[in-house]
Amino acid sequence: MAEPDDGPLGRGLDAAADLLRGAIVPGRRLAALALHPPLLPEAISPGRALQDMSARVHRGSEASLEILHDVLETLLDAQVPKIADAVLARLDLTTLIADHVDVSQIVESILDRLDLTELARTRIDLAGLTNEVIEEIDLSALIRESTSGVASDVVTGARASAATADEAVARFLSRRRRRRGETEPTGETAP
Amino acid sequence: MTGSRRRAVASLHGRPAGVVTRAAAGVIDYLVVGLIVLLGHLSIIALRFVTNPVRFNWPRTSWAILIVSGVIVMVCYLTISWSATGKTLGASIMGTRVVNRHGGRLGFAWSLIRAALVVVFPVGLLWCAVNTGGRSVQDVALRTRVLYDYDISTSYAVHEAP
Repeated sequence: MAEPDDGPLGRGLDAAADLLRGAIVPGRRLAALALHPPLLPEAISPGRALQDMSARVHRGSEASLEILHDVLETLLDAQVPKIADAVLARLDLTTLIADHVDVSQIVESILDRLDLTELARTRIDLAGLTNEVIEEIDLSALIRESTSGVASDVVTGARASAATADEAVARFLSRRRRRRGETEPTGETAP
Repeated sequence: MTGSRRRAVASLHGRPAGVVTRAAAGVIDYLVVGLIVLLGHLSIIALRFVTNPVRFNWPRTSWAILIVSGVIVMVCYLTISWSATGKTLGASIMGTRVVNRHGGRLGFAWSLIRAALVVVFPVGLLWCAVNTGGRSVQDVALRTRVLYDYDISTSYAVHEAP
């Protein structure tokens, strides 16, 4: 807004502004009268016709956008995998990663962030896994075999010791008989 | 246990068992019978406690009852074992078997008589140490034999004394 003592230009502008302000209200009224004539039913008034036209254009643009979106989506679905395949086929990803990525650092970083023990406890059925392993290696049979093996060794040892003692007794009695001049026994108990 | 020792033991199979082996088997059998008698005695006491816990007091069992019940159990145990399989638990562990004069299993009656003789005159076992055929007093009386039994065969060609 120009000050009153701005000179002729300022005063001219003020006058123009006042004129416009004065013209806006009648202009609005005139436009409202043209769009909604008093004698014309509202249903066929130009204002209503303009509103309908605007709504139609708005709906049409929304539908067009949806169609465009669908077309684009179909196009991307069909073409992106092909493009990605074509790009990946032209790249040696292994060498690329080995050359440009510090994999060990990434793995270390991931491992640092993970509590593997807790993860194993929550995600792995340790009891089931243990049972499977025990069934797979047949632990009970293993224990049974080793136990029976030990028992068998003990029994065989006892038998061998007793048989050795039998032999010793038989030899002792045989010597005594010989001293007395008796006939020799069969010696069947000796091996 | 070395393989050679195992083979040496196995080579005795079918020969008359020596006095030490038979005595060891007898000791195991005495232990088994003692355990049976003890468990039976305790079972009877437990039954008395269960039926009348208020008036229960620990019974004073006389040695005579224990010995008589031990003798009865021993005779039954030996008879059933010899007539059924030819070997008692002690014999199974020590690897011996009782056979008749044909090398087969004893019948029930012979088993009963032999069991009675063994229980009445246990020292008769020692005779097998001096007998030329490795026979105890009971074996001589009933013409039975006790052989080393180190495999699963049930009948033997008896190694007779020359």
